[in-house]
Amino acid sequence: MKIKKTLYSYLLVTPYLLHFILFVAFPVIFSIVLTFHKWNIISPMQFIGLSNYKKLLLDTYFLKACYNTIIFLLIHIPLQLAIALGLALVLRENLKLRGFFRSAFFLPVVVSGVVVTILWQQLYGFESGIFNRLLTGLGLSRIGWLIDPKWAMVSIAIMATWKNVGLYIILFLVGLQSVPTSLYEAADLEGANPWQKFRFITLPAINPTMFMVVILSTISGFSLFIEPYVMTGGGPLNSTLSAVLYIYKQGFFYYHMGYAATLGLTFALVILAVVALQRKWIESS
Amino acid sequence: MAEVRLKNISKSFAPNNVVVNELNLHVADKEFVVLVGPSGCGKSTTLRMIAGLEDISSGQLYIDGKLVNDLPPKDRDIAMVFQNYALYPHMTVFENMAFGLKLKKVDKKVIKEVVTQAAEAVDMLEFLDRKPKALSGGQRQRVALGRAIVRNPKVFLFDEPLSNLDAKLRVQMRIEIARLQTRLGTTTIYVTHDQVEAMTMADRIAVLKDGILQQYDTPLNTYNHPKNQFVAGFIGSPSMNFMEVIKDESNSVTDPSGLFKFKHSDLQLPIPQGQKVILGIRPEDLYLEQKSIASVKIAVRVVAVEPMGNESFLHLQIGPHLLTARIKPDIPIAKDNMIDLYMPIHKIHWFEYGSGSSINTSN
Ligand SMILES: Nc1ncnc2c1ncn2[C@@H]1O[C@H](COP(=O)(O)OP(=O)(O)OP(=O)(O)O)[C@@H](O)[C@H]1O
Ligand SMILES: [Mg+2]
Repeated sequence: MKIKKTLYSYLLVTPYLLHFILFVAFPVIFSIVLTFHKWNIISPMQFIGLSNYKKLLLDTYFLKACYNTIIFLLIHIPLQLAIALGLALVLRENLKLRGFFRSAFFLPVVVSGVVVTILWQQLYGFESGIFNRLLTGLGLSRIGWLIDPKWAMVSIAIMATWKNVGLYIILFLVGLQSVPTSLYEAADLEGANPWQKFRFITLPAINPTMFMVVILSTISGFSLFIEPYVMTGGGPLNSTLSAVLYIYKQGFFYYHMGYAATLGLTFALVILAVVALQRKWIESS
Repeated sequence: MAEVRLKNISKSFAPNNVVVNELNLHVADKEFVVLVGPSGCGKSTTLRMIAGLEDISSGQLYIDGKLVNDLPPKDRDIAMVFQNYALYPHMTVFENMAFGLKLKKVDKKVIKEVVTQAAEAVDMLEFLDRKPKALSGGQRQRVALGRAIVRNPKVFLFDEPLSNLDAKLRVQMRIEIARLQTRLGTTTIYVTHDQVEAMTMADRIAVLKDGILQQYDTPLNTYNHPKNQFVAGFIGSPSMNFMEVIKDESNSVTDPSGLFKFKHSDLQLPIPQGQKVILGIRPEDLYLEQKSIASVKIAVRVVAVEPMGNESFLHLQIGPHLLTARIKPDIPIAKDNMIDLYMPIHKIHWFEYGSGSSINTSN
């Protein structure tokens, strides 16, 4: 009876266990093993010790890719925070069509990243893209959204913000909902202006939400890939080469599987460290 | 300080849905007025219109003789205490009390002095550094009170400030608020649905029902001379007993199904014979023995006895009528017995059948 029961329990967890072994445990272990090997998928693996790690220390492209990713985060996170919060504040009010706007802003979140990227590629077009047409219409000069190394990462950050902002709007709306209206009324009676109400009531109340948004968009920002992969291929002049894109290229473009695994592992540790730091900072404040 | 005058104030949130109807109320300087009424009768709405948190649909509102209909809340010089306290959760007690003054850019030294004084008045001096989360309900209410008095407003508005507190604390805070108001002499409008609060705190009580003012009078007058059946039933606990009877020949009324008949030479009702009328009698005006005063007798069955310790409530029945009597605790009366009760005639309230208006009898 007891054995039967135990067997039955194992049977029930088998699907998950299989999934875990196949798609989590095995890849992790295999990629750690890979870091000590040279492998191009076709010919057999060749043990090379710590060479991959030595190569990584001197790899200026990887440094550049990490730098690009950080630049992306530095633009993307504040932009995301400000726009999501701003729109959430507007959408909290009793507007006509509030339901429509709430869904409209969420739509890009569920649309495939590739589709969004291709769409934005059109918008960013140098000659006939809508943004440049607007600029020239206003009598300003065109911007090389995706072809100017100074602008390319900014453009990608703007697009990524547009795509994800709906999710963070919802998080902020939930946070804002928890603020009792009587607090605003009390502040009204005491003579607070809109800015003071925001500063002294809204902001402290949604602090936890802000931290959550920062953490979530950091993690998702680190994995920046589809956008530069589809739009710019990492260019111009590697200005949009993100860390994940570089890893992908090493693996599936140059077939440096061992080295790609080394980069991936290192980058994972970097993300872990950053998020741990953020968490510590949040817990202390 | 200031008087508050409501002139034909009405409020509707949607067309054909009048929440406050042509309300006229004059709150004198230094007066403590309590708005009472059942849930949904428009008490909070009235208060919020006075505060400026809700637009006035029609009518005029004067504070200190000045028309304030279009004045934003901050310019009305009022302080409001909310049912849920509405303390700023991330600010300390001190910061909560100081917030209004800080916004007004009052000198820091002055703020410190005023807040300390207020904290002393509400007995919260030792908690100035605490956040609201770390306070009990009663203490939070004290902070809210302190925040109100810090600004030294013309008018205090309270919206059911004690309803989140337990019974004992409620009694204590009731006394403290009343004492504070007397000391400061600030005109006060206080909303509650608790008629004990209304009776004990008010200079005058305004009884509202469905957005219409039923009576505006001193607590004792609303109790002893209710203008209609609604006020009679609302003020007093347990509430007044009502029986529907028919005016018979002169000096007598009968139960429609002939269960009883009251006849007495003092019983003089200025209504035609055969007309229905509502008889009202308070639980404490039903006696177990005949006193020397003019009374009528009624035989009832005891349905239940509720001993309160200091008194007992008898739940009684005669035909379709259910009555409550309030008697001394030490009288032994058992359930299911038949007993005789006496009603002093001059203690009976009469109300018009239908309209519920009080009928003036000559006695
Ligand atoms: N913002 C609003 N929109 C629509 N109707 C409202 C609004 N606020 C209040 N009402 C309605 O107005 C009526 C009076 O409400 P109000 O809050 O003044 O009652 P109240 O006497 O304070 O009741 P309670 O004792 O339950 O607090 C209610 O029927 C309520 O549903
Ligand atoms: Mg209310």
